[in-house]
Amino acid sequence: MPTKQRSLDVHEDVAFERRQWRVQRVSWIVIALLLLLGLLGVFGNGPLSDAVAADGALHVSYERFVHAQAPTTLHIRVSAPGASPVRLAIDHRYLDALSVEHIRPEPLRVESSGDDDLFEFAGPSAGDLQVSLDGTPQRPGLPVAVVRLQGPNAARVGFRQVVYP
Amino acid sequence: MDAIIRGAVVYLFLLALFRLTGQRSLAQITVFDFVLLLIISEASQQALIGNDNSMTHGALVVMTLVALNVALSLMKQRWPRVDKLLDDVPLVLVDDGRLLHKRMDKVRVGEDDILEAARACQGLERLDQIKYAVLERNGEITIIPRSQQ
Repeated sequence: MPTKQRSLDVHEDVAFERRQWRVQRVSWIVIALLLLLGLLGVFGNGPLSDAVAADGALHVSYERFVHAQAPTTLHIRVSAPGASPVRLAIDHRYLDALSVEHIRPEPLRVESSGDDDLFEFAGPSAGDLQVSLDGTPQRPGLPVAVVRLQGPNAARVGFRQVVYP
Repeated sequence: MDAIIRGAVVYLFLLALFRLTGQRSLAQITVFDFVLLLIISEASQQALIGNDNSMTHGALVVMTLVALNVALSLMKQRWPRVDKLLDDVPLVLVDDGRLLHKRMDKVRVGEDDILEAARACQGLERLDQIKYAVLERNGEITIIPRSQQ
């Protein structure tokens, strides 16, 4: 759409340019929205990412959105279990997906039973038992976690995490 | 496999991002463009390399980037549409001495930028000495002066 005859030989395309400006306007809005979601934590590390799953005496705090190759921590709290040992069962596939590197406090005993790994912790002399699992998911995916508290106050929580690439 | 996917994803992501935001060039004059270039390259380096610092990984990433560049330039040569989509089109901003303000606003180029380009590449002093100014595909502004009578 050349406006008039020019001595200048330049290959303009004003119609293309107009379309492009429209697309650019839309993409600015899209980028702004993505950044807003990012601030809220939809891509990890933010208020929308922090989550708690609870059942009875068992509370698990986790991040809904995590990144592959970036560390994340799972906090498990068992309220007032008393002094007897506490047994937690976590499904093996999830521990594998999370590539758990450290467990604090050190469990007294770890054993494998079917699909689960069983961890036995010394009961705290007073208050709650707090267990942290540090891991680094190796690949993107949607791992499902099932954590079970065994014993008299048995409880079970399940949740799903999103591992972004 | 990882290296090639990383290379391709980062390349195409940056390409799409720059084209969609309308960022014509990072090789421009201002200090801030330079800082931006440094930061972007630092941030994308992590995504390109990941945890693997081996020479094999680095070589695969570099080969992927170069191959994509060649492939895209072949496509641009073959299909003019692809060329436009990837590399934009030049845009006349001053037409026979007349400033096209609406276009200048759209591409975020001011009168100052045009005068600066006129001084830098033609040694011109005033706006009325400019016959044509064109925003080129690489983000540079080129100036054609009025012929002196």
